[in-house]
Amino acid sequence: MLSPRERQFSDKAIAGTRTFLNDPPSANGTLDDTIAFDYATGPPRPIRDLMSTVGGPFCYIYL
Amino acid sequence: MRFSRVALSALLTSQTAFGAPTLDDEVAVADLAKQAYDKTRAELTSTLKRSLGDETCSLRNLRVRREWGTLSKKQRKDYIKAVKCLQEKPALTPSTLASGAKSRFDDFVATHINQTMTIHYTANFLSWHRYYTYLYEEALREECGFTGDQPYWDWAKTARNGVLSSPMFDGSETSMSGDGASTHTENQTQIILGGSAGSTSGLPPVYLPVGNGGGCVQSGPFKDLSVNLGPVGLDIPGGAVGTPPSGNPLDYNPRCLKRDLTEEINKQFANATSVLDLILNSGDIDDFQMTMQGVPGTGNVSIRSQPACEQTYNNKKANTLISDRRPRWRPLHSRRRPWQRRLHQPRRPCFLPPPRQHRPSVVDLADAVSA
Repeated sequence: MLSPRERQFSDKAIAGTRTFLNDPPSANGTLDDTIAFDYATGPPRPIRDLMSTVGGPFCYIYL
Repeated sequence: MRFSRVALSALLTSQTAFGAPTLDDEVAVADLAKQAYDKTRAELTSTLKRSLGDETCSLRNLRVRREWGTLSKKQRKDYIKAVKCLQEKPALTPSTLASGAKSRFDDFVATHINQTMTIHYTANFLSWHRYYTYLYEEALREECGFTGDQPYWDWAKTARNGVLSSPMFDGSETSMSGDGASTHTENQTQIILGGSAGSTSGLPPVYLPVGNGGGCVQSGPFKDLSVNLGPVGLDIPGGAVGTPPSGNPLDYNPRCLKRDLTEEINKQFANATSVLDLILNSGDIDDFQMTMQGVPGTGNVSIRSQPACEQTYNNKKANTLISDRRPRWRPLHSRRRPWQRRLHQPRRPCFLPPPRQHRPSVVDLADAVSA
């Protein structure tokens, strides 16, 4: 089992490419990839900032 | 790896199909959630404040997302009011990019449609939807005065107690509206995902039962909602595929909110046993997110799909790609040409909302609404 830190911030934290089922073929995504929402708004952020619900912009938990 | 995934999926399917979900599994899921809750609180208490720039999370500003059914009627109404407010605020998206985006709510739908092919079955799937849900909640708070926290829908609960009678879909004023009017004809007994003419996936179709709705939602807060965008490759019962009149799902295509709520899909794929299996038996993040989204070709439409997908709840349509347009929460595809793509309708497996670690949030579900 991965530690919380490995689960969120190591190279095992994310998997997959940048396209739907890798079609068309694309490179693997990384924690440095940027997520942006066009006109829904919010500043673009790297995936790395979005891996914890109590870190980066987030501060929430489910009950 | 591919083999193990398929094997896992087959296992999940057989378990959920033949082993009725047990209360024990529901309790086990709740225990895991409680453990995560306690652990996070402890972490925030201990000094370890995680910060990034000037943003800091601590117990003082920690928000708690709760299940819809646990909210008071007042809390549900406050949330509904904020969603309706967002549906009335003018869009920020330029009409030249998406003429169908009429409201701030539509901005979210349009963004999801526009990015669909690069946010599902991808490395950014979970983080994208996490941020998306957060920004939706922020818009409700900052632009519409919502003071509560984003609620979520516990699929395992409705798998046991029923979707139609649930606080979220019972059609009352404190629900997210209920089922659609009954419209299925004799030859519309099944939704056939990926089975219509024109399918290019080469994968076997997935057959799903229809419910008793299919038409416009009849009661509740979203009875008069105008759905402005889409649809995108919507599998209509009987095998037809719904497409936007202009060919572009970002164009203005106003219509009522339709739904076809079914109990079977939720019970079969998104019950406590399947949720627990997903959490405990996924070998790595790849396995986790593939199972969650539904491994193509296995017939397992996935946990998140179920409830979330339009097929389940949204009527005659089984819109896999679109999903975000409904109030339930919002949130398609094409070969990208940002803001203009024509949906090339690859019939793909149903995908949907985003998950945080295990429970779907209402917003997550947003990802799922439809057309």
